[in-house]
Amino acid sequence: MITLKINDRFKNRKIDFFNDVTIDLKYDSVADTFTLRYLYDPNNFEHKEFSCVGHYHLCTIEDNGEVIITGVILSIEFEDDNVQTMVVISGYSLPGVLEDCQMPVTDTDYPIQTEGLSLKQIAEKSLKSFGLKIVIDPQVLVDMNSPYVKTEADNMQTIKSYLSELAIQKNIIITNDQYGNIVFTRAVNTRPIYNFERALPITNAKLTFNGQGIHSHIWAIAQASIEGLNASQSAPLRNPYCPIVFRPHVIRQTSGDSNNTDQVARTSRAKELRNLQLNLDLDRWVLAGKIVRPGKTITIINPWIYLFNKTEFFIEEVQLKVDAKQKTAKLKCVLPEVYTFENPKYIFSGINLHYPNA
Amino acid sequence: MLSLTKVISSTLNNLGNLVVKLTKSGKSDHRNVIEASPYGLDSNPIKGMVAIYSDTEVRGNPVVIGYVNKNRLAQVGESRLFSTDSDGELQFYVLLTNDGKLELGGTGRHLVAFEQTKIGLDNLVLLINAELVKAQAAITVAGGSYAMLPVSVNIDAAKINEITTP
Repeated sequence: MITLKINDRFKNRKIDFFNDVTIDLKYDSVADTFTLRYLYDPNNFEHKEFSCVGHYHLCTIEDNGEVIITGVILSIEFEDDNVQTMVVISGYSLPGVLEDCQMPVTDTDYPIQTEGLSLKQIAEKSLKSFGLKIVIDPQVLVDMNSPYVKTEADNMQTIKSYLSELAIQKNIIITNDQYGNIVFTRAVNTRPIYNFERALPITNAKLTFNGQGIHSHIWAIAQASIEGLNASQSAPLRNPYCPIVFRPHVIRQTSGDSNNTDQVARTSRAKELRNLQLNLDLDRWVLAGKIVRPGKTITIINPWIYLFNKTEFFIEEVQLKVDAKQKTAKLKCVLPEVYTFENPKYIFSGINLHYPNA
Repeated sequence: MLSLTKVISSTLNNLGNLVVKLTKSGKSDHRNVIEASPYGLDSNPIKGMVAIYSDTEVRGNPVVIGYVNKNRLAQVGESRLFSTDSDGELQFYVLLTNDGKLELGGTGRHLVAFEQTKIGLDNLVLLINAELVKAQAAITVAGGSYAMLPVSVNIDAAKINEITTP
């Protein structure tokens, strides 16, 4: 049973009649989004209280007591027609504000240049004005506490963008949890939560490869350092998803120090791997007893989408939907190396006979 | 992107870079930025100067590439190098004028050239020695004696080899 609670900062108000819930959860994002419709009666005092415009009411969506998302209502759409229509509200998870806002120009938050501070310290300083809580995955604790020599935010840069720019230098991913906390983590190889075949719960499976976004060789180049070190470049990094033709790609390093060029190239290759995408439509949203969320891995075998071998994918995005009939889910999956930054494995190796190693 | 910023103070870091503390955008946006300058020119701005802040390819590595000077006096074609105290009061200047002169801090007095001074002194020595010869002859005619020692002068040690003029 789905429950919607709206908190106007005075009391929790439970909404009884609502429908068409869509919740989009993303791994590499602090803004999971939701949209739903509810029956609005202007003569109902409670409805008037929780439907206020511009109040950014807090909102929680639960399924049988399991919290799916904790966020704020951003938008509301009223409509009057011959037949009674429902009010549409939408919003995002609590840390979503970091995607929309820059560092406030206050003495607490400024200056936005730091020297010798760690990501944990910078994050705590940046989030202080927003009252958000930080959760640090134990596996990134050491990196969260290691200081940067110097960091600098652009005044117009969103807080999420600034923190992500710093985090990626340490292979740290910033995401959020269902309770509205901002989470610093790292994708590691974990046991898949489910093994799919060409059967239910899958109702539709699609594998897409966009070759235009893939390159055979990737170089990262960097300017000379202000301390006097030479301009640098990474060794050419190969992408196994373009093993035959020559498609070079050059990327300019825009953050970090000149010792980071190899890592910049790896990050660029990891992003390219997103061009191989697995989309699964499921007839349910619970897998292995839990609501499916991004950040987990699954395995799948289905020759009809060219997956002849049991292959592991990483769930990057999940769309949960519920209407009057059922709860369903759409999974957007990518190769695990998109987030582990490890050397990618060519999952189609050995399938064709004309290039047996590619 | 370039920005106009205001200098608060400056220090030297352990690499000998001049690090300018400045206010970038807004009252509290203080940043420490290394100054870039023409090779061989070592100057240090006073508080309140407007500095030109420039980002580079890598975020966090901006540089100050110049200042909007407010003590400009040089006429067309001239170059002027100057120092001030911390309040901006002029202390000394070197001016290359557009009529071919070099001013060192003012126009009231003139420097002298070594070569002309040496020639003048050598000529003076010749005249003095010629007069001494005459004096010796007169003394001898009068029955006296005068053992003349020629006068000489050597100013070579006063020559500054590192500075030359046309």
